[in-house]
Amino acid sequence: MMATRLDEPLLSIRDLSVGFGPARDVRKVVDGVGLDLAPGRITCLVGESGSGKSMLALSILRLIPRPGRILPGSRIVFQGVDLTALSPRGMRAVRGGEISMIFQEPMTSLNPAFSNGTQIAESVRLHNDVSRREAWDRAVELLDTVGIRDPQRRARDFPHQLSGGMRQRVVIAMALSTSPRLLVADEPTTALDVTVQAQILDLLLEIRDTYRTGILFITHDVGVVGQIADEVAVMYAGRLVLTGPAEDCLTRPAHPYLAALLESVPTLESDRTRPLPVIPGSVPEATDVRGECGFRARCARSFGQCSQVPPLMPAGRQSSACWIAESMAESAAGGGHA
Amino acid sequence: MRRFLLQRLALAVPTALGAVTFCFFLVRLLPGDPARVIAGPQATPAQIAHLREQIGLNGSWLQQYVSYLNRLVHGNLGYSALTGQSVLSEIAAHAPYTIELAVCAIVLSTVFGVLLGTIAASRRETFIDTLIGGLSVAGVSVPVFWTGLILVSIFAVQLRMLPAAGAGSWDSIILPAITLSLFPLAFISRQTRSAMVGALSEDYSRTAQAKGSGWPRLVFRHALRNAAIPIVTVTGLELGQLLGGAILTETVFAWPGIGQLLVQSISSRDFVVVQGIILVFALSLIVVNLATDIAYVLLEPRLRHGR
Amino acid sequence: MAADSGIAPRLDVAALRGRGRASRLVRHRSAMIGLVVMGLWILIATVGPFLVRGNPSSAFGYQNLSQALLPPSRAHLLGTDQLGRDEAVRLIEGARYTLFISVVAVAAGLAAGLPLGALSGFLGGRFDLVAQRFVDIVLAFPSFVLALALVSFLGTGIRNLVIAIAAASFPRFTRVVRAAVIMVMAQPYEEAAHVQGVRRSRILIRHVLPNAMPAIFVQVPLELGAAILTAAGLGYLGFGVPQPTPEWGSMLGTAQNYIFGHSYLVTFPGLCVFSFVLACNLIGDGLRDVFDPRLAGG
Repeated sequence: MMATRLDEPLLSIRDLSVGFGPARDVRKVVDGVGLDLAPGRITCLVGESGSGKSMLALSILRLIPRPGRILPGSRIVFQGVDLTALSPRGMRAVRGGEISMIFQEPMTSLNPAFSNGTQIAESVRLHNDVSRREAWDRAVELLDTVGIRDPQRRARDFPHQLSGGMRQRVVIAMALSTSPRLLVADEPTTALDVTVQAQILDLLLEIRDTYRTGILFITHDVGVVGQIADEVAVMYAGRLVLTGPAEDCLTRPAHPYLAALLESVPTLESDRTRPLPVIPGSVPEATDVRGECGFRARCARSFGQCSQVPPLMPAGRQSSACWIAESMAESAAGGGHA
Repeated sequence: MRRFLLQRLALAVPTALGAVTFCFFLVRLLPGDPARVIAGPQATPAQIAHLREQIGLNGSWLQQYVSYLNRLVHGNLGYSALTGQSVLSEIAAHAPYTIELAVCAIVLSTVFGVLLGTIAASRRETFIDTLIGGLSVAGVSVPVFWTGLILVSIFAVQLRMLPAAGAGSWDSIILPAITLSLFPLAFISRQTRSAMVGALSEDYSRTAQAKGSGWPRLVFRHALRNAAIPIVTVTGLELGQLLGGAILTETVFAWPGIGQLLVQSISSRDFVVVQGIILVFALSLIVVNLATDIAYVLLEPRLRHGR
Repeated sequence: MAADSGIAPRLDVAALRGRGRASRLVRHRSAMIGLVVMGLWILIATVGPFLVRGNPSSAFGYQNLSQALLPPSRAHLLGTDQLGRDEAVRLIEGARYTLFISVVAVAAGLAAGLPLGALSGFLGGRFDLVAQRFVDIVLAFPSFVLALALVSFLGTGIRNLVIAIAAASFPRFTRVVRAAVIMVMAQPYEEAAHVQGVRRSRILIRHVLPNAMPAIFVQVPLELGAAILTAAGLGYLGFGVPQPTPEWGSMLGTAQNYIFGHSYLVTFPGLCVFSFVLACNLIGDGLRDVFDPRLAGG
């Protein structure tokens, strides 16, 4: 399925499927996802655990852990090249070079045996032909850019001497060291305190503005989406169910799932006398929902037609996999939830 | 870091003292009068009395113990009943051979053990992994002296390529070194595999891959550097087994090291020498364990900054 | 020598509770091979001597120099040794000694190590400190060297052999049991029992020890293998059971004299030791995989 086509997308994903198991009996965790990422914009990919969002992110750089694999028929096109068909050597050049990726656990993402500066410098030297001295200087420079005070000393320090937030900054510095066109961030703030989280989010916004880097930000936290998203994409049970500009998706979501997610986030105006709305049930496995709309069982608005998988349909500037997408997009957010 | 090392040193001292005390009691385990046993059936009462004095069997237990410690501090381990030489000089004469053998075995076993273990870890669950695993478990199950004999049988007897015994020619060390290295090689291979599998599944390995590291860099720089810590720690502790293996290997190949000296001394009931060698072995092991602790501290950056 | 020296396995106590451990063991291929081989050897060691009783070579002090040093043939499947005795018969007889000495030594080591380790872990404090220093001292001697030292000063013979091997074995048992006990004690349900007023000795015997069992199960076969290697090593050096008792290690020792020309005498006894120890290690590894797969690093 395809979402809105862009004229010059930064990254173009078509029919991406990721699965486990033998060919005859494949278990898909990502099912036929099509998505375009705009250059210089932050796209938030939202979903609960089990939705396949992390697998999608890992598949861009072909980092899916064995025994999973990208299934045939998938295409991920970046600057005219299909990444799924690239040679291992070519892929290594892309990884950390044009496309960088950062992960959720800053406490363990850095190698405890090497200093911070060494690890950043390694990134530089893997993709540029520079001397050790130059790479080190660049590392110090980057630490300063990501807002680490006393970068000279911190470069010589080891990861265990830094707090979680600072380690994530180091990771971001490492990711930026090659001026990538695209930064894939898999829940980079989930493991951090709220205040630190805000700082990291600010940093990412700065990066987008200063370097025009496109960012694919994976998260399950709708609140974060509200803070930084330019574009929104929502995944459910391995499928893409909604894409669109953030202001549209967040105010008039064209899919009941996002609508329900937004409702479950308490705000200052929420009615405190009523119980917090929750979505009953849990995310099904992608393979369990063949044939019908995956959200059907938990949706307050489901009806007969939902026994058929809805394709992505335009609804204003959004694209939604729901039979009532258009009417959803027209009403204000928060319309009716059991 | 300093604190850790001082702690280890503080632990080593009572252990060393305990080992020394144990050796003190060894001679006194001999049935009957130790001096008579050591002097042998031909000895005259005068010789026995002289030996008594020499070994320090006169006086109360406490007096004996104190004089024993005193002699040790001055490097006096007693005298051989067979040759009359001081035990220390006997050991010093034979030691270089054992050290040479041990060093060769350690180098061989470490290099190939780490290599095999790394290959097994990076080819997890494949045929290669199973093969290396099988060879490793076989390697720790085979008696070291049988390995030696088989190697002698093949290379010295059948093929006549290498000498069967002694330290005569330059190639005499080949078979003994290989023999002695087999058990630690298999052991290190297993430890390495397990440590490397652990390191490769850590998040920092994923980060290294995401940075664009190729396989060799990932394995040999990122993973191995961290896996080295548990490998070195466990291996250091097993080094003591190498001494046991050395005794047997030297016997198979008539290699003139301390091991052979030990066996000969036991056979000829030269117990003062035996006691001295046992003590030297134990103290060496304590030193080796301390060295392992130092290596551990050097390798683990988290210990260096005291967090 | 095959057993870990003082490193105790981490236990997944939750996994202990699971049923199906036995079935997991059965599915573990290499452990099954080990059990089969071990079973064969136990069979040979127990039944074998009766089967060969009729054979002249099994008689004490038998020799027939006219039949000496014959290569393997129909009459003598594995050949004859330097005194004309049938090698196969001697190996079968020798199995009994090897098995007996190792089992008794390991049992003795366990009998000494289990209470010491359990009390050490359970009581903690000064008792633990002193006990562990003592174990450190014993561990300061390489296990083969320790056994050799004891045998040389105590004298040879089965009794001293067993003492020597048990002495090398017991510190490892102590460490393993102590670590397991400490781990179990840290579990919340232990604290709960204590708070409820269950008497400490009862906690120790009824709760803690049973949960330390898996660690012991893993260690026993490994120690058995180590004991066999030590016994064979001592036998090879000539410090084992006295001649003409058939013991695999001493058979290898004498075989060395005839290696030029009669290498079959070297092959078979060593093969016996190897297969027995291999079986022990396979079983130990298999048990370790079953009780704490994380240890296997796979």
